[in-house]
Amino acid sequence: MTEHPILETVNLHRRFRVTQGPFKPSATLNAVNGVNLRVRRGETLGIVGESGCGKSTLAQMLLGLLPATEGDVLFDGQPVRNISRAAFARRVQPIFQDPFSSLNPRKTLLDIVTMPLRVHKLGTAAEQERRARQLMDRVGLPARFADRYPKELSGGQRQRVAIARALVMQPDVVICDEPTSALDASVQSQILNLLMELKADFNLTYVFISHNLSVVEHIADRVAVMYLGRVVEAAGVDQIFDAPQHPYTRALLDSVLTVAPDAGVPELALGSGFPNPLRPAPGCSFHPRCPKAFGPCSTVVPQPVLADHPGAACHLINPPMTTGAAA
Amino acid sequence: MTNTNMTDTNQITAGLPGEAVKVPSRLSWTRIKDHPTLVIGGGIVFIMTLLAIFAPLVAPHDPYFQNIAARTIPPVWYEGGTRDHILGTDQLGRDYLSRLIYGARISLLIGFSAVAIAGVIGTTLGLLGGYFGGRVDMVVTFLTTVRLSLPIILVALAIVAVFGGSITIVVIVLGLLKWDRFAVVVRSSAAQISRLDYINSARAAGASTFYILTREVLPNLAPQLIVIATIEIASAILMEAALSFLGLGVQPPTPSWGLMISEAKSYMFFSFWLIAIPGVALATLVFAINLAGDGLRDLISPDGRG
Repeated sequence: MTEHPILETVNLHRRFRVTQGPFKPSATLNAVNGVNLRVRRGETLGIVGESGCGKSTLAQMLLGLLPATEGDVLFDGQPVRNISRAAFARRVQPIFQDPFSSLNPRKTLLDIVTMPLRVHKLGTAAEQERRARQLMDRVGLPARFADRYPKELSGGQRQRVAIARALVMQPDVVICDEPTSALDASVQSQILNLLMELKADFNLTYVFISHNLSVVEHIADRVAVMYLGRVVEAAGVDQIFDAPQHPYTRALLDSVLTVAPDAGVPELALGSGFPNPLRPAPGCSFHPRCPKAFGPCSTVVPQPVLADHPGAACHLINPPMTTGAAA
Repeated sequence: MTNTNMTDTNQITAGLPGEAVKVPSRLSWTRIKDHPTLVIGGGIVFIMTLLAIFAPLVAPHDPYFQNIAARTIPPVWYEGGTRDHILGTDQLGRDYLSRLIYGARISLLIGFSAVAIAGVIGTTLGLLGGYFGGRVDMVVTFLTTVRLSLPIILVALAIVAVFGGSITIVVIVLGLLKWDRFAVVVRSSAAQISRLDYINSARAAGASTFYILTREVLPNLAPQLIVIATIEIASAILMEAALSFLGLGVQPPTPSWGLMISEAKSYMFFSFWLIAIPGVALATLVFAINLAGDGLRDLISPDGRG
């Protein structure tokens, strides 16, 4: 039983109907389009991609907040839809991006951190408070903050409150949806280091979603790169950063700004802007922007990345079976 | 397999040191007295409520006792006024101060109970529509539109005409008709709040929809609710006065401020105090309620915390 990955997605899809206007037919948005991922106990899986690539939709589904249109999220080998909402909530908790909207402005920090305990009726009020105070201390919030309101705190302090709330029920998995992108650079590293310390202390498993590659490189063990709802490349963090295979991963890595004085703004071979996700290109959805696109890219969908197998969904790496289509 | 792991979180507090510290009370006198509008407005409403509750003890005379020999005596500060009738007497010789004090009962009772009913209906509908959106929201919006297309006074007139005028009927009619503003405001605010991440956090923590609506969404609506409630209480009191003035609300000889104004209208040019005194009382009460509402909103909104 312990062989199961703690969190797994099997051919996960999520489609949204999008109304475009009163006289136009509604379109279908494939926000998550056949994602296979495995998260092993104790590891940190980084998920990166541009805005609109389906990262946050995936996070919502991993949290059980959004039902899948097709496919399954498995927790410890069980489909999440078979696990009761309350039982699942104790095991998987979120940390959201914006610490200004993730804390209820009318509640004191103590109320916010004890909320999950009160929802699950764990312990007496005094025990809940003790537990919350202990965790607030652990995440680096002074005890005198307990009776304060979120508006009196800075962004970094608010994010610490969100972390304490996520950990108060001792979950196994924490889904971090861009937990540092709303913070100052100096605060980012403090929060990241705190997250890594807590991971070791509480035996946590992280799914770490970010568009910031250097943050992911810092914290993740394995990385999945998403593009338009699909995982285009998944591999260990070293392989992704040292030897990226998919042209999109390479472009992403090239886009990172460096501190080198003469470097300037990196030049990308990506061409036009982000495509319309309502009308993705046929074949490999990345091919209109791909500098290395060739024959089959515009007609044949590349083999999806399989869970647990490092690889890239690209015809350059896995040439299509149909012979004669290759240029 | 998973179940065995899920029970161990019950021992969350095993061996944790620390002690409980009392959260300071949120409404303390030191904070209330920083809001003079609340002190003044709330004070007036409080005094009027006390007078209304203890009317039998406070009123100097029986409000129903007629004395034809002592009709339209002016208030004590005018020539011909007597100490016995401080605010004079009406056209039937009834003590005007006593009728005013008993009348406060009607105004406050109808104002508060009608708005309590309307507030529950409107807030519930608004919360459901705003939180769930989609079809639920369409139903709520439809109901609100239907309600807004009904002119309150006309519907109230029709219902009172059919069922007869009584305090209960007026309360029910106003309660069932005045929820629209609650629904509209709560719906839009709830829709906004429901998209915020602290609602997602509560959902991810396994909180029920009822918990989220009552503990996470509703407290954030308190400032708006208080403002609407005060506006609506004031408006319900005025509407009761209007209905009674038209003869379709509270029936004579029950003293109601609206009815008193109505009964006094034919004496307006000879004994103007008969119309001025209940008018001033009505205006003061409505003004005080609005003042108290403003102060209360400032007091409880997190941004207004001193």
